[in-house]
Amino acid sequence: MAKYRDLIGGVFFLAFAVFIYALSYQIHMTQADPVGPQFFPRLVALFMGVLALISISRSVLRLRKADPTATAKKGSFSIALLLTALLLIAYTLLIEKVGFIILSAIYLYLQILLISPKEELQKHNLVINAVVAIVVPIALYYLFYHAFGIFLPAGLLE
Amino acid sequence: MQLIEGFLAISSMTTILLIFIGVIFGITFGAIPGLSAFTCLALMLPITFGMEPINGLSFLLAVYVGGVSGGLISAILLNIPGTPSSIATCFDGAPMAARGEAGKALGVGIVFSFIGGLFSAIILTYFGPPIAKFALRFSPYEYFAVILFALTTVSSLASGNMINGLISCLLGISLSFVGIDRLSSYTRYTMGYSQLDSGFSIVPLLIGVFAVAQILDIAEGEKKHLDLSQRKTVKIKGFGFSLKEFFGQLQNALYSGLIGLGVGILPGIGGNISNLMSYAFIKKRSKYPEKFGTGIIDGIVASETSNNAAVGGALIILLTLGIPGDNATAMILAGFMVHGISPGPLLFETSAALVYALFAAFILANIVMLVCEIAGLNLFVKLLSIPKAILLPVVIVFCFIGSFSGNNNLFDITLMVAFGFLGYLMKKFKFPLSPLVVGFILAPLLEENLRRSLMRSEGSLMPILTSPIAAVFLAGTAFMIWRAIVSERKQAQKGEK
Repeated sequence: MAKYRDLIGGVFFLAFAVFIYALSYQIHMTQADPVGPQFFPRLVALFMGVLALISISRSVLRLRKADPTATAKKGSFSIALLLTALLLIAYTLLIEKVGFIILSAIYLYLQILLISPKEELQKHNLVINAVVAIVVPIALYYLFYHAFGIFLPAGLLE
Repeated sequence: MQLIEGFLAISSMTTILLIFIGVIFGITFGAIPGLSAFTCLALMLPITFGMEPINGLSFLLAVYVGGVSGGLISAILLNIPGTPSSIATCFDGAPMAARGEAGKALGVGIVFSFIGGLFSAIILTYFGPPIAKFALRFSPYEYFAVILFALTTVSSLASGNMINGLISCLLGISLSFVGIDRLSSYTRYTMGYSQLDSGFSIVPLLIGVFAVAQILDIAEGEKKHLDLSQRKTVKIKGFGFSLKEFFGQLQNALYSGLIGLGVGILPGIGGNISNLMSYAFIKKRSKYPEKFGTGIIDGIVASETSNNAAVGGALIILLTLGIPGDNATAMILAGFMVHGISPGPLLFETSAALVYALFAAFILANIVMLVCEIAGLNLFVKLLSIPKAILLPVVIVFCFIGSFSGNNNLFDITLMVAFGFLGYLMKKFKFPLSPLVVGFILAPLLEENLRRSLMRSEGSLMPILTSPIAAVFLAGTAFMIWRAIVSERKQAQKGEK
């Protein structure tokens, strides 16, 4: 994976540059200025495409030079990363229905659990985590409501 | 005179109290390894939404000042830099602490942090207004050249790989296309989503790319338990060092301050590099370079004076030109935008009172930093033991609030998470993140000034090249690219050997 890192990045941004250029045809043209609103996105897409091509060619050259027998390090897969990503996605999907206080408390408890080192996961730490997870969202909700007039989504507690 | 008025403007109890709180939070976050001034700014930004602009902005400046300085505490006591700005502080600070001179090392670090910060504050106050006045005369030609220069500097200096830096910057620029085009007032790149009509908001983008990406990074990485068993309370008598030692270091401090200031002004590098550059420079011109690294105060002076001086340097280009140099100043810029204020040369004309009040707040924040760190040192040492695994998720919850409450829009929370994934992937593929953010922020200005230039010149690029000021900055742009190519070549050759 590390071996092909620059190649993958280059190909992605080449595709992205093509995408930006292609979509510039949908922009409504006006005569307000001589070059119009399509000009700059196209310029940026061209530069990005050229840079991506340089990046691709450089990494291809490097791959050719590199010893083909050398085995790449196996990428390790992190379950905590996956769960954190899912947790964040779940937060965005549920915030409107569940509301800030409950969802944030659940998020905090699980997130702290996910990124804590093993040494910090004894029983009394778990209690501290739970207290933090419950107190912080409630305190923030009322702090922002009363002090700053910002009303966070109440969801189920409405 | 105007500075005195500035001090009067911030002399209310609320403002002073906020500066105190900001500095204390900043120091705490700066001291905890892995958290930085930026993390603390992300945490504090939503709190400023409801405040008066002067209070909110003074508060953010105070957080920034504290955040840059706080790193020295863990650098000296734990031999782990609290923030990248204090890497070089470890070199001599940690050996001194190991010898039992922790108090002296901390005293030197704190006092010279203050001197560096104060020095840059004075330069900011006296040179900021003339620079702004000068910049006010910029036509679109010059503005375009200056922004182009800033973007190439960020892209080529932010990482060792210029191509990746530039691609990242162009991606940031592309993200700014989404929404209404300012000159033709038609929407672009919204794919028919009306929620995107006003473009991506800066706050979710900034917070997502840095803070959310960081928590993903930490979740993936090895979770290390920070062993604090060796932590002990420290006693400082006075400032911990003699007057003679103080005067002996003033020359070093001057050079370090100038390096910090200069590096701070250049976008893209800031305090993270200034401390290392200044350490190397002071070591080189020292009469006893062999003693560096064994625990002498010269090394701490070099590192700590320059990183705090870089703060003032970064504020000079932020306030006078509206150009943020790194993620922390981008966050402060977001704070300005939330209050409907855009920094730049015009700000000095239209809101001179606010500008001088901010100068005063910056000076006061440095004084508060000195007082708090000397008086509350052992408290901060205790705070070091708050586990990062608890603090970081709390920061993310603040980030949810920050993204949401900027526009009272739940869609911005989704955007923040999406940008978090983007930031994480970019980091994995070795694309630096600062150029992305700075590109996103400056792109509208870049495009508008380019198109206005072409409007003025009826499509010709020549006037941009013949304006002397623009030519200087275009030459600077070419130089930055040339310099990056040369240094990359050198590194590649080294790699082959």
